[in-house]
Amino acid sequence: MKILPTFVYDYGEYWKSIQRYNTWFIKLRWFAVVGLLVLTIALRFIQGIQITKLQYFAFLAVDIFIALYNFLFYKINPNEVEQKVQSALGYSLFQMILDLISLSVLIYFTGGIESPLVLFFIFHMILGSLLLPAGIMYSMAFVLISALSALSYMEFIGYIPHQKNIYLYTYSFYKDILFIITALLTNAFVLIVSILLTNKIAVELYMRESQLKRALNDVHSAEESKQKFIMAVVHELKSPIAAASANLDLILSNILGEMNERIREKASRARFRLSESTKMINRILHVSQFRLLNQLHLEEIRLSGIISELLESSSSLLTKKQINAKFDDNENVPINADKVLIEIALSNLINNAIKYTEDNGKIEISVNDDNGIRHVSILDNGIGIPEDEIGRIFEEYYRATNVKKIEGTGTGLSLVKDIINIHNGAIKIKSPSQIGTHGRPGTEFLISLPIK
Amino acid sequence: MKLIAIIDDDPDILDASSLVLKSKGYSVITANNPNDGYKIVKEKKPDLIILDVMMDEPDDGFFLAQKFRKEKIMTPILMYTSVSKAIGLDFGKSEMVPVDDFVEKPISPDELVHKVENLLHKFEEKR
Repeated sequence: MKILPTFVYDYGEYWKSIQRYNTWFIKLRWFAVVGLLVLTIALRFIQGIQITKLQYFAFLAVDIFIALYNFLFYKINPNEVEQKVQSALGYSLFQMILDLISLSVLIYFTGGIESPLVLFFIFHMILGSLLLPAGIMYSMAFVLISALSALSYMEFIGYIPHQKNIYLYTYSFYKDILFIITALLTNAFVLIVSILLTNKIAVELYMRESQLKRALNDVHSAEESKQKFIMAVVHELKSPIAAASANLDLILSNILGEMNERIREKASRARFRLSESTKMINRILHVSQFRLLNQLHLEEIRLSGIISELLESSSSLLTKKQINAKFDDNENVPINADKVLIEIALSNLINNAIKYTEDNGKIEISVNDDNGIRHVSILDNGIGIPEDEIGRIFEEYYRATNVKKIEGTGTGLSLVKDIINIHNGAIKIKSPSQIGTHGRPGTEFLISLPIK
Repeated sequence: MKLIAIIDDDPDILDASSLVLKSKGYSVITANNPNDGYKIVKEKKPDLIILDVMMDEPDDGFFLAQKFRKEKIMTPILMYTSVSKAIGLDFGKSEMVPVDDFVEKPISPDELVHKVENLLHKFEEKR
C-alpha cells in the first residue's frame, strides 16, 4: 500500500518531520497513560459517578495495554535504525491504529455513544492528516463512524450491555434513536471537516516549503554562475599582464640590444611588480576554485618555511611598530596540504596579529608535533577580542566591535577556518592570550593539522 | 635549422616569443588565429608547434590540437595554458588533450627556450 502523500516534494524534510512526529507521539502517549490512570482512580472515588468494577478494570487494562505498546514503540523506534520514509510512515500508521482501538474500547466502557471521549477521535484525525494522505484518513474516519454506529445500534437493541456514562447526571440517551442519529452525524461531520482542513493546511505548508527550497537552489546556482563569471574575468586580466611581462622579459634578455644599468633596474622593477599581480590573480583564482569546487592541490609542504617567509616579508612593518616577533620552530616532517591555501591562512593570522598589536607589543609563533598532530600557535598581546564576541569571530563579514577604527572586511577568518577544516584540521581562538597582560589582553590562535 | 610555429591571438606574446626563439637560432612562423595556424602547419610542416589554449573561444587551442592529431600530424605541441584552471576543467597531460607539454603564461625567455629544446630533443629520440 502506498501511504506516502502525493504532495511531498522534499523527501529529506518530510522524513525529518515524520521522525519528529513519531518521537512526539510516543512522548504524548506517556502523558495519556498517566492521565488515564489518574482519571480511572478519580472516577472510582468521585461521589455521584462511581464507575463499576468492570469499568474500573477495563480502564486499567486499556491503560496497561497502551503503556506496553508505547514502551515497545519506544524501544523499536525505527528513527535510529531504518532511514526509510515508507517504513516510518507505516510505523506511524500502526501506532495510530493501536491508539484508535484502545480509544474505541475506552469509549465503549465510558458509555458508548454518550461517551465524551469520542472527542479524542478529532485529535487523531488532525495529527494523522499532518502525515498521511487524505484518502487513508477518510477511510479511517469511515471505519470509526461505522464502528460507533454498530456499537450504538447493538446497545440500542440490547444485543450488548450498555456501560454507565461518566457524567455527573444520571440520564441516559442510548435508547434515544434521535440522540444516536444526531450524535453520529455530528461526529462524522466534525471528523471529515477536521481531516479536510488539516490536510489543506499540511499541503500548503509543504508547498511553501518546497517553493522556498527551490528559490534557495536558484539563488545558489545564480551565485555559482556569478562566481564562475568573475573567475573568467579575473583570468582575462592575466592576458595583458602576460603580454607586458613577455615584452619586458624580451628587453631584459638583451635580445634587442644592450641597455644601461638604470634602465635595466627600472625594467626589472616593472617586471617584478607585474609578477606580483600575476601572483595575486593566481591566488584569487585558487581561492575561488577552492570555494566553488572544493578543489585542493595537495603537496608536501613545511609550515616553518612559510611562516619564516611571511615574517620576513613583514619585517619592515614589525620594525616600524617595534613589535618583538618570536618563532619557535619544532617541525620535523613536512605535511601534505595545499600550499597556496595554507599560505593564505597563515598570512591572514600573522597579519592580523601584527595589525591588531600596538607598538612595542609581542608576537609569539610556534610549531610543534604531538601524536601525529601538528600544532601551530600564534599568540599576541594586542587589543584582543571582547569575550562575548569570540563565538562569532569566524562568521563571514563579522568584525569585532573593538576594531572599527582599523581597516578590514571581516572575510579573512571565515576563509581561514574553511581552509583549516578542509585539511581535516581544527582552529581554536582564545582571548586574552597566554602572553596577554592587563590592558593588552591579546589573542591566541591554535591550529591543529593531521600529519599522516 | 628547426622550424617552430607559434599560434596565439595575442600579438605581443607572438612577437616576444618569436624574437626569443629567433635569437636562439630557430626559424619561426606565426599565426594569430586557428585557421591560419592550421594552414601554416599543413604547408610548412614545422618541427614544433607552440599553441595558445584560448583564442576567440575557450577551447580553440584544444580543438586545433585534436584536429592535428586526427590528421596524423604528430608534431610535438607545447601549449600555453591556465584558462583550464580558471574554468575548473583541471587537466594534465592526458589522452584527451593531445599535447606534449603545458606551460603557463607569463613564461620567462629562458624557460621557453628550455621547454622547446626539451621537446625537440625528446621527439628526436622517439624517431
